[in-house]
Amino acid sequence: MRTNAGGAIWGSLFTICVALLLIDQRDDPEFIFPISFAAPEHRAPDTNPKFEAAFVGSHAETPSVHAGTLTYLKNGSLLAAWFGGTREGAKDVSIYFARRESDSQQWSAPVVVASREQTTQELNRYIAKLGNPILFADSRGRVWLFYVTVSFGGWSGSSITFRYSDDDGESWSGAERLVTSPFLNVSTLVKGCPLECKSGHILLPVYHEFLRKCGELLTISPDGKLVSKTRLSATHRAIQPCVVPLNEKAVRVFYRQNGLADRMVLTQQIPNVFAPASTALVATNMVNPDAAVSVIRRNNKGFLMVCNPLDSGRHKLSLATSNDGLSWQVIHEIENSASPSEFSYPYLIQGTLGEYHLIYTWNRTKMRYAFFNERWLENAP
Amino acid sequence: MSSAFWIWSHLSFVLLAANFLLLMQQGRRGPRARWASLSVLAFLGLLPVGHTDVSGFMLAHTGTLCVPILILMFRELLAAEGLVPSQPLHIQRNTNLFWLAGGVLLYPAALGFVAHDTYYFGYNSLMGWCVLGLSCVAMLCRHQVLGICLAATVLAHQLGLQESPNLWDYLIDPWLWIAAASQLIWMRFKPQPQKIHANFVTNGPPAMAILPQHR
Repeated sequence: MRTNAGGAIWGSLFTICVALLLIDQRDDPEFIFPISFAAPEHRAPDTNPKFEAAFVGSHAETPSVHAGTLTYLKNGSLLAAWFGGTREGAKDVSIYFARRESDSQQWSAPVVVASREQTTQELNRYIAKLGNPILFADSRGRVWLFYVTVSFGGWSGSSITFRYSDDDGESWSGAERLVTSPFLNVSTLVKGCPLECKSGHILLPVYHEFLRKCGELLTISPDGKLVSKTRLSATHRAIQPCVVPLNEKAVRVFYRQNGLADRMVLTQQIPNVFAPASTALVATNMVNPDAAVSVIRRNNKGFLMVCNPLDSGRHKLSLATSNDGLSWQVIHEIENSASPSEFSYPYLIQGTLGEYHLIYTWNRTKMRYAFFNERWLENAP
Repeated sequence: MSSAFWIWSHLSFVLLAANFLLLMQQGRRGPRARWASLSVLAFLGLLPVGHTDVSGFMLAHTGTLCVPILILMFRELLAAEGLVPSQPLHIQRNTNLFWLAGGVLLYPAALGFVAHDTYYFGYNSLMGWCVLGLSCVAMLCRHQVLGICLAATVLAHQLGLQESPNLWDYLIDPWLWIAAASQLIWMRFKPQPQKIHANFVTNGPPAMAILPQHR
């Protein structure tokens, strides 16, 4: 009885001490608001129609490449990253990185920015393979690289790791892991382009693939701490969310539909992304062969999407436009070939002068970059 | 990777392996042998495997272990040495029911089977107060071990000892949930010691009891 009473007293004292630590902590999500939203009317007008395309570096050492990503720096340079190795999921897959200077407009030779061995060492946990990278340059000039790491199993066992650079990609910090799931931290992957809030917080669209497919949004503080995770949708086998800001709080999200039949690009509008109510997913009129899409705002004219407008296969890559996000019309074909070809995983961004930059997987053997402007889009056939 | 995470991973490996050994040995070894095996395990965890060490390799497959499972494993080691008493059966059952309920509340929602994600609440400090409140209730109900586990969870979260900023990751993990569920099932179906004793006294051992009485 004396032991019980003693334990209770010590336990109560311990609890009081912990309570004292909690007293000063308050949650204030308001400070994250709002999303940095560049108004389209501030963009400079284009003069002549422009379209250029080029392969990004050489891939002699990496027979298989996939999942390209781009980011635009303040000095006008572009950075690109992708994963490459003998095949997708192989142990020799690394994240490669190349730069396109604004003056030379040539892509540099690819270099490894994250390898499996290096990530294992820095995280002090075994990593079996690497996957999808996402590059993002924030308004303070820090370049973030988020990428997928898998310790066991297939892509459903993924978690997200990041590193950052404060000198435009010349040197990188050590790898850090984001814990986003209570179940062994498995099954969170990235594909979509992040957004930035005026507070410096990053909104990173991710998706969950284990047992159920759903889109989620991570809020990451300017120093790389995960602040919150919000579920966007838990139905329809919707993956790879692409979040497009409509104003400082509202977003429209586009999804790749994963499944067997009647696959269309899915979308939902969320009035306030910081206090999400479960809004319904609706199918657009754009078919989707279970392939990634990339969507951004188009100057004063709704949305611009890069997608494979096919029932099956990925041998055609097109640009489509829409005013409302629901009804789409293909305006340009970027690639069109016979069925075994694959042009996939597009990643589209817009530069500060309104020009568009696109990177995509070219037959799984090369990364291809395309540049075009608004005038070229307007001259659609 | 901070030193706190590194210590967490090694501590997890040593406690997990030591408890596994304890379970296998079932008290057949003396205390000296047990302490020797603990030292060997602490050394084993540091051995390099690929580009990490043994504990990092294990952690990649088990995930980061939560605070209560570390406390409970440590307590098991102390109990094996006779330094702390075993918990009464009804307290063990209630504690296991608590972890089971926590897992049922968390995992189906976190894995997407329910539209609202309960994992979301772990980012809010209000959940810290709730867990602390539960800790007080547990203490008042004489479930001191559960109370200490809950308070230590909030403390570890406040100090940021794990990589995760979410309180749920400090509070529960799938291994604790599986262990609690397994122990509840075992407690439900294991032979009752008093009844066996009573039968043994009246009828002899079970094998003898089925023999015809006239023999």
